[in-house]
Amino acid sequence: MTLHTKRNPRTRPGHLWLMSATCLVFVLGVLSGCDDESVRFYQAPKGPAYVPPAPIGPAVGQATTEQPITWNLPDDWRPMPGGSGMALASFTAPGEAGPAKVTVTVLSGQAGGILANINRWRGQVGLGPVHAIEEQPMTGVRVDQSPAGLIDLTSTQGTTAGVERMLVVLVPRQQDNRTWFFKMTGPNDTVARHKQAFIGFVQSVSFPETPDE
Amino acid sequence: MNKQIKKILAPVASLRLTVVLFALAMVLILVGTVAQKDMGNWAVVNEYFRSLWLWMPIGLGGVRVPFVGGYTIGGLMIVNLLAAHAVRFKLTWKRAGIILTHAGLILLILGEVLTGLFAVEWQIQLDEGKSANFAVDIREVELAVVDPSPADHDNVVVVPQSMLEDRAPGLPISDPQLPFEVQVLRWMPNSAVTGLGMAEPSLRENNPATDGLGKMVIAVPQPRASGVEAGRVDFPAAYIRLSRAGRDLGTWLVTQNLERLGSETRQPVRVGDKTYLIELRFRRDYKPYTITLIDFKHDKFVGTETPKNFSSEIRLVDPTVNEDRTVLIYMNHPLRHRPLNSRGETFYQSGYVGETTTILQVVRNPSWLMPYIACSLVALGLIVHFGAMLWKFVGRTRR
Repeated sequence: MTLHTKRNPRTRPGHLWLMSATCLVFVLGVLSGCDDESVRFYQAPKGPAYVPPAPIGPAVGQATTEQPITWNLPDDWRPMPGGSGMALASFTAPGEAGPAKVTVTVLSGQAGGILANINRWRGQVGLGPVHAIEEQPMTGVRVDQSPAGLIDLTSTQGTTAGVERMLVVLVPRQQDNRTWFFKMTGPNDTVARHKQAFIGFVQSVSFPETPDE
Repeated sequence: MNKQIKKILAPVASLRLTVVLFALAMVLILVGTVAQKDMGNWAVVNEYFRSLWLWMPIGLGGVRVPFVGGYTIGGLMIVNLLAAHAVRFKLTWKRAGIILTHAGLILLILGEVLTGLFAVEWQIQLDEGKSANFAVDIREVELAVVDPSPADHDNVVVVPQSMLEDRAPGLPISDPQLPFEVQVLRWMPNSAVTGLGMAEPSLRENNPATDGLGKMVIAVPQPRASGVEAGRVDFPAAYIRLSRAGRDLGTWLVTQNLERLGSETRQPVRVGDKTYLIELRFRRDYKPYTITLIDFKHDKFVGTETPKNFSSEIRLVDPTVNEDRTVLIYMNHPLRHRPLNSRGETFYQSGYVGETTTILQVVRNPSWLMPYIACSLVALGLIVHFGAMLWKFVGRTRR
């Protein structure tokens, strides 16, 4: 049984309509997607009040009372060209197993929470999270008279984890409501070799003075 | 008349054209897949597949050749298929399977065009106890100029990313809605920031910023996040010069590099007696409802770090439909919600940060059913076609 009994194949008006309509939908669709976007205006619910951020780092050529942070850099550490992510400063420490990376970062407040940061670092070396800060072994140190904690994390998965070993000194400073992070990451041997130099570097730090100090 | 049309359509209906189009599609898919090594998934989708044509790299030291994009190939396939039906195929019961299969293919291609044009995917990232009344598109940024002076709302003017990145150097963006002209001096599709005092001397000396954040940090271009780096997104940055009626309002660094770490990225710009806040941020879509994260749970298989289940208990308050409800969103159990005078949206549990922050994906795709219908039609068509052939074969064997 057939819908059309004519045997000779030929163009049918119904097909042409269908063809034209489908092509039109396609072309109009594509063309409508080619429209350039423009500047838009709208009213939005009120956002949080603007609070000037704490200075992020020493500025150059800026009339400011803030002094730059200073430290004594170990002789064989070198600055990383172009910096690294959010770091205020980044260095590399040489080693036969590969260089270790040292970064100095400062964030406002508690930088998202100390426990969350600890678990993030533990995750980076392939360790499971802890449920309380007390569960994480931490060595007390003082950095420019501020109490600080040194965390030493070694991967149990060797080089298969993203980072083999990590040293972090975190310094929460109430004076300026900022948290400073000094971090060394790299191959276990290199980090072990530079651990004392890293601690010496951190303890040589002199923070910028704040008006309250 | 019919003969004339048939004569015109004959070359378009050619089977050779079909084969060429399939070959072109295979090349496009191969090159588009390899391109994800260097480009983000969405950049590849837009540049290779949702485009009429593109400059395709051929692996010879940056040499590129023009090539047809996905829209062109898809469009020509539809024309080719319909022309073939008009010229060659007959509308008979015997052909019903083929017609159904081809209808399914056409619907599949049209569905992708409609998805590309009308589907949106946003993200809401929430800490426990926090609320949000907007979602963001992490694939795109916008320059927002906010006038916070009204007591009960903010007046916002946004310049889309496409205008910032495509602007010819020296040509300012001016609009009656903007309180000043914006000239993009340098655009970085992905960037990192470093303290200015610690940056290389050459970077410091060439720092174009004269105001705001740019006097404390410097942005350095970074390679764009590629499709093989799961979870990485681009953080664009721009150096922009602002001016009003020929008066220089300074050169500013705008970047949302600091936003992800909770730092303030809005910068105040004084124009006359008014202060505006400028910010480069992920593109926002404000919602008529508010979502609050009550609790986020992240369960793992015992003794491992393998995620077993993660779920978000949220409170949805939408005054437009008098709705105030608590919902648990978890894997394969999304929340569907339709505000008044708006299309429905679906909220999927997409990811998490740490133990207390959830990432919800908000999706709106008016053509989401089309691929299902199209694939069903193709499957039905193939069953009918091969069923009929089998029936015919069995009949012949019996005789």
